[in-house]
Amino acid sequence: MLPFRRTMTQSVLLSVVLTSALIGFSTACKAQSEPIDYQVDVRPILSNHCFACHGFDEDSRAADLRLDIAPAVATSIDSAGVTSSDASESAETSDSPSAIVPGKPSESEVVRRIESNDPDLQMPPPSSNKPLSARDKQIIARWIEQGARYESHWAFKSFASPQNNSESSVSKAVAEQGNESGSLHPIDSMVRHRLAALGLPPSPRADSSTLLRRLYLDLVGTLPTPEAIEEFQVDDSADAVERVVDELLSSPQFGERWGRFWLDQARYADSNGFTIDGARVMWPYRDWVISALNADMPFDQFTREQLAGDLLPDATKLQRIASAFHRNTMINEEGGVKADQYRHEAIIDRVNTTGAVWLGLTVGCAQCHTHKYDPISIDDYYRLYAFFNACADSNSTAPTIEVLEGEVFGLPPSVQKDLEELKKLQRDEAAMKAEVQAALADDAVPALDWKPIAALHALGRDGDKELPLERLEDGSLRVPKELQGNSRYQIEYVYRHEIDAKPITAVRLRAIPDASLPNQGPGTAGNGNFVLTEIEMLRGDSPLSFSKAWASHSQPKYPIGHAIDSDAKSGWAINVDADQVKAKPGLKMNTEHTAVFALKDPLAPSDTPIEIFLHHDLNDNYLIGRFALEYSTSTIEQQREAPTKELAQVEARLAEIRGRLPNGGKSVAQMVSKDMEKPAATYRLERGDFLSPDKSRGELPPNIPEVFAQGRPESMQTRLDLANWLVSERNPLTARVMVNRVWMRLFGVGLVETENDFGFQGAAPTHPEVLDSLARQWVQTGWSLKGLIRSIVTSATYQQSSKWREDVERVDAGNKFLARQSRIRVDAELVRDQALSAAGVLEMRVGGPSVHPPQPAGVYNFTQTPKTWKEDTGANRYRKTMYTEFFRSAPYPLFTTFDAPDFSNVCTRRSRTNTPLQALTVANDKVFSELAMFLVDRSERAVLEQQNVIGELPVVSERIDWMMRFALCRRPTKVEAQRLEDFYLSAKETARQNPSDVPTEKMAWFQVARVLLNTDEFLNRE
Amino acid sequence: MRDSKRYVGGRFVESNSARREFLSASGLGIGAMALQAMLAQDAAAIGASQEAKPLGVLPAFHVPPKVKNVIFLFMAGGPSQLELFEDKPLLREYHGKLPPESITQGRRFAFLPADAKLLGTKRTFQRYGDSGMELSGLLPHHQKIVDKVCWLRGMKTDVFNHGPAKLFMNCGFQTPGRPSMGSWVTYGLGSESKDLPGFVVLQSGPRGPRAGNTLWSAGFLPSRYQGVPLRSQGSPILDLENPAGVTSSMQRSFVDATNAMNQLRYEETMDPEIQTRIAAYETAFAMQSSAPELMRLNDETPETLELYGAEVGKSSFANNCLLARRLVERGVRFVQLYHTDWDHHGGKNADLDEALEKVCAEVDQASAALVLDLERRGLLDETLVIWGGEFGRTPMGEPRDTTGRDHHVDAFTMWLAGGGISKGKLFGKTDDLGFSVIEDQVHVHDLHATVLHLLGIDHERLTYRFQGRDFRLTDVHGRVVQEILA
Repeated sequence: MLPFRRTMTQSVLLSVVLTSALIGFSTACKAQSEPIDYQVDVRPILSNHCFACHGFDEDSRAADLRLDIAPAVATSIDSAGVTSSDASESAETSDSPSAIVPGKPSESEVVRRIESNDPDLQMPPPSSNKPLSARDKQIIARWIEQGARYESHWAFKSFASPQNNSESSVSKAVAEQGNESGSLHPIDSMVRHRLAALGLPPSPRADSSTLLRRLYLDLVGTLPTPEAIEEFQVDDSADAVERVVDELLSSPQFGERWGRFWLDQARYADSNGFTIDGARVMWPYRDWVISALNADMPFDQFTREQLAGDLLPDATKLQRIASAFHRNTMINEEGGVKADQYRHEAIIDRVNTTGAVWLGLTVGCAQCHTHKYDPISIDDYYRLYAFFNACADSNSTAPTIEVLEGEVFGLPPSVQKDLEELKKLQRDEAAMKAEVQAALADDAVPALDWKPIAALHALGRDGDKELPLERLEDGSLRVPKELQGNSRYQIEYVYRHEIDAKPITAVRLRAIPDASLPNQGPGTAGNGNFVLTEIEMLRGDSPLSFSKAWASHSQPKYPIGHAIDSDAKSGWAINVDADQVKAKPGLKMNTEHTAVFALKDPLAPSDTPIEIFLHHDLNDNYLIGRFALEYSTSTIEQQREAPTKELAQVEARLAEIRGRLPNGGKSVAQMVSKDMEKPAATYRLERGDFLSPDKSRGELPPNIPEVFAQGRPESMQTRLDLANWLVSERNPLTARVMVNRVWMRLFGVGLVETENDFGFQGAAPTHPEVLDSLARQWVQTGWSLKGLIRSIVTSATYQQSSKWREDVERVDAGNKFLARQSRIRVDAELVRDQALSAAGVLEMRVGGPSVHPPQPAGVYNFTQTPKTWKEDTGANRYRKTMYTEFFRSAPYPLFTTFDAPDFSNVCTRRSRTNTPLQALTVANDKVFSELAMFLVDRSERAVLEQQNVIGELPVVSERIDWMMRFALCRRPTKVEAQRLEDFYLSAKETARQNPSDVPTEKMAWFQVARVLLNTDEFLNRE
Repeated sequence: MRDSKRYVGGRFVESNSARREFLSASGLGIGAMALQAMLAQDAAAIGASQEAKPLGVLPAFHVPPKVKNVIFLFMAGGPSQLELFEDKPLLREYHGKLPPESITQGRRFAFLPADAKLLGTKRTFQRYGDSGMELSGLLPHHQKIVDKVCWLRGMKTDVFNHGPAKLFMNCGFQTPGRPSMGSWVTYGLGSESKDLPGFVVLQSGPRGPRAGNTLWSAGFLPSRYQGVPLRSQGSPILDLENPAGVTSSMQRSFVDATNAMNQLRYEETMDPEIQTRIAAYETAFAMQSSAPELMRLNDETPETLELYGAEVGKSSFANNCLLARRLVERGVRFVQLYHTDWDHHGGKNADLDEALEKVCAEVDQASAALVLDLERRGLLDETLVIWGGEFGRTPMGEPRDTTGRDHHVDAFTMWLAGGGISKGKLFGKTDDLGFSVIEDQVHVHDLHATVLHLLGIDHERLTYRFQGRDFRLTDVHGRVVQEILA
């Protein structure tokens, strides 16, 4: 026994106080004999009020007292939770008062202290701000009275066999209930057993339309059509629900709906976060999640591929794409940031996210100090950190992988064929370009004989302005000052038949420096440079082509070949760089430079004039200032033929294929996980400060927390080892945590209310037997998410009505024991998706890059850098909201208003609020107005189509009927129909009095449609 | 009227039985006037009980509140205390010299190279008022309030990049995901304003503050506590305007019809959340007229406009200061103004010469005017005004084209004014080169603890359980700076 540090005298004095307290206690407790459950009743109290100073954390432990484990084993067992023990076996004699004397609360110092009113003795001390309630004190005393039995923490226990106490006792009890239980869904048996104890009957099944809408919203996130509802309503076969469930589970929309659930946990976003928050490409990973869920990839594999897809043996491309799970961390692009700091932040986020998603534990607490409540030490934390400290990324997008749009889902054969051809053509193109380039290369200018070209006319043209070029004495031409910009020169010349006149083989352009030009250069640019984008030569109307060009000198990246490549965006220029000067000392820009252009076909003399055009299309005011043109008839040796025609053909074909491929067949670079060859050493970081690694304690190799040490592999090194352990049978948390989260999605609250805390501070499960049997079944049947969902939604418990019940509220406020379903405010995405669905315009395309529905103006008034938001006009305007581009620093406003987080960190549960800003959004936002109008149109079409069939209803009520069926998936009640009709009539009257661009009748229906989209019913899954 | 809050299905819901009965009885014909009257009544009832009990989740004030509202004038980018508030003759003497290695060792700076030289300011300082506060000539209007505010010259923060440091100053944590101070305060205390959000954000200057929405995020708190940006151009709140062609009376009847349908659904399902939604639609409708009314500065006298240097129809820090006063007058709990850009590293439009003069001119007059105006209206006693940026600037200059300084986290200046704050107090002292605080340091966590204290909150007791841990604004730190309390 561990002694208290107070004196005996004090303790004796206290016992007087205590005795009176105990008398009060026993009279207050009616069911004194009822056993106290350590898990459910005691641990939460101890954890919340005592463990901070008397728990796992050695450093903050006071008075050397531990209350988190049984006293006798306190010194020998350092991992709480996995060791179960009976304290009564370990009673020891000691002079000091014992903290806990099993069976004897009045002799237990703990009880004395908690009952004390003396601030010096009282526990917890008043300064902790954590006083115990009278009930808490009673529970502790009773627990001690009943033997102070410790149990290991429920969540850390294996569920591998159904011998789990709570579960078997309930199963037995259920079995005893007789025949009825045999036909009951196992979930229903277990839930009803607990309800029976409370004296609560379950609720009846929800009416068909509510149930069908619930199944649609929960499984695929859209609304059923009126036809589907009608069909379901009349289907009285026993397996009607099962068939609908199977149909929905096999719909591609399933992967979107549950993919979004997963993407919350992956903290998926389309931007880098922090201040600059630039766009990033992560959507292929989103595609992967959707695709994996649709394929019902077993969750253990799903885990391995995302945490360590890159480390799997012979990792496929898809597995590498999946490894982006932990690349959803933020990148700080701000100037002056230190990459090491944000690499550290990303690793911290990866550790904490892994802990939250798979373990349901708040490992993050141990970043600065050993966890106060849960058995996770600071060293445990940095051993987990070590798994991720191998990462190659460091506040960077690299490393990335190239992905094609649609590739994750498998490309259709036609696209694959196109892509293959594209690849081949790209190779051809590159080869041909190289050849062309080689043919045009700046090799030595051939030595030829030159004769001047005596121009008949020499004009310069700048837009509408046309002026003659100045003719200088030496026969050269100079541009007049009035011509600027992108002026084009036109020189006309006739090469007549004369004696010995041989065909022209080449033309030479001499760019001549001139004192009147800037910097005494040959060009008109400020430094004396020019850019000749093209030289063009015609005889009559026939263009003449050049086979090759040479220049005495070309500026890097502005080779002479660019002057004959028919590309206005490239040209020849003459600046010099250091390398060129090094290679050719004395080289300078502002001197005479010449270019020679060989004609493909020699040009015989003729009376038809020749025209030469010099183009300067690229830069403003980069003209050749002074030049002379000459021709040669000498033979040019061995010209290499440039495959220009073939190249043009290839390029045309490429354009054609690119035109029909998504994103022009171009791939995008998505971030992926990768480890360094030599992982960085990990040390304990005191107080989480990455600049102060505690090297004195030695390196911390990758490993899982000590508390889970039993049966772990001998050595763990990589993320793959971690992933394997997470989904191994040695770790019961993953399955429990995930099952609970799936349950939460289907009921609004998990079986464990604190879905993100399965540690000592968390809530105990309301139905441990349900949780464990589902978790066990899930693992045993191969981790099928679809199977798990199916087994829950086929229960009567899931299918019951969500209507509020007074008797439930009285006995079980909060509906923990599930005597009814819950009304759940739909997620942000579904608010809009439902409207799209009701309006009949939802575009069902699955996957791909993010999209841009209309967004109210002014969203980026408050960001550092405005984002581009090009509102989509085509089908992408009506895609599911999960595809909307997500900027962390300024999310699409609907998201924030309806409680989607900014995904800076992992989100395992969204909050659900009910605010005026939400009202403004659905009532007034452009998106919803547009969709309300579509709903008006859709109801009009429906009435027109059906008029012959249901003729009896007057058109107004018929239309209201349709609108209700489209939006709320049911027919209006008589009262509702009457009220909406009244509203329609008065809206029509008001619209008549307030004319606008919208016709009166349409405005009235628009108002009705708005009402339906704004009802609480529409915004809730019932 | 019975007003209560209950915890249902994991969240607090407001249930107002009288409203419920009323709506139930009146069916479709809920009159706008009747409901507005009812809301007014609510507001009156709440107004009366304000002294006694917070309107948020806190059941009672932890300490007697000194102020009701907060206006935080956030000088985004980090104003240079060495050009504005702290005269350091020694810096001028050692201008162009390397700082002693013993001082720079272990410090990390965002941009400074290892051989950055000390930079003496070219500004001249003078002492003003009874407090004898030193001010450079850049803030002439501040001379009028030197004895009305408390000067914190020993501020200290932990992070040296803008985004993280702004988050730290707002949320007490350097990465996004935690609630900001305004969210914590409205979570704990609620807001008196029924038709305006309880936490409002305004922006002026060339662009938004770095880190954007995360600065006024509710983090893990329910999103109703997030800051709502009020835009100075166009519609002040997103989606405040009716759809095209819908008049105000049409909107009224739309809200009535929606709520009537909701009421019918309530009778069917009995879900109390439906009552909250009915109230939300009423508030939203009221907001559609109250928010534009708030923005109409032509209600103000020419004298007031002149005091601030505000101009009707313009978007400026001056206009925002005036709006801030109008917001707290209307019971808005937490108002935050961001003004960019104080990030004077040197270089184009970022020098400590003209660029600094420009931003000082934009901010000086209105900051002082806000204090004076609140005071003469008797509002200063119930309002806390905070002035400052995310960090200060280094004693060394940055080697850029023009004069500038880098980010400095170890010592900078802020000021506070309002109820419960010592007037004209100079608190905190830095060393002769301005590197470190040598006396009366106020860490960001301490500032937060003090702000909460003035609002009646013990910073250790305003907590929120998230992922198994009780979080608070001050994390595990923070001390109420008693020395600066009146």
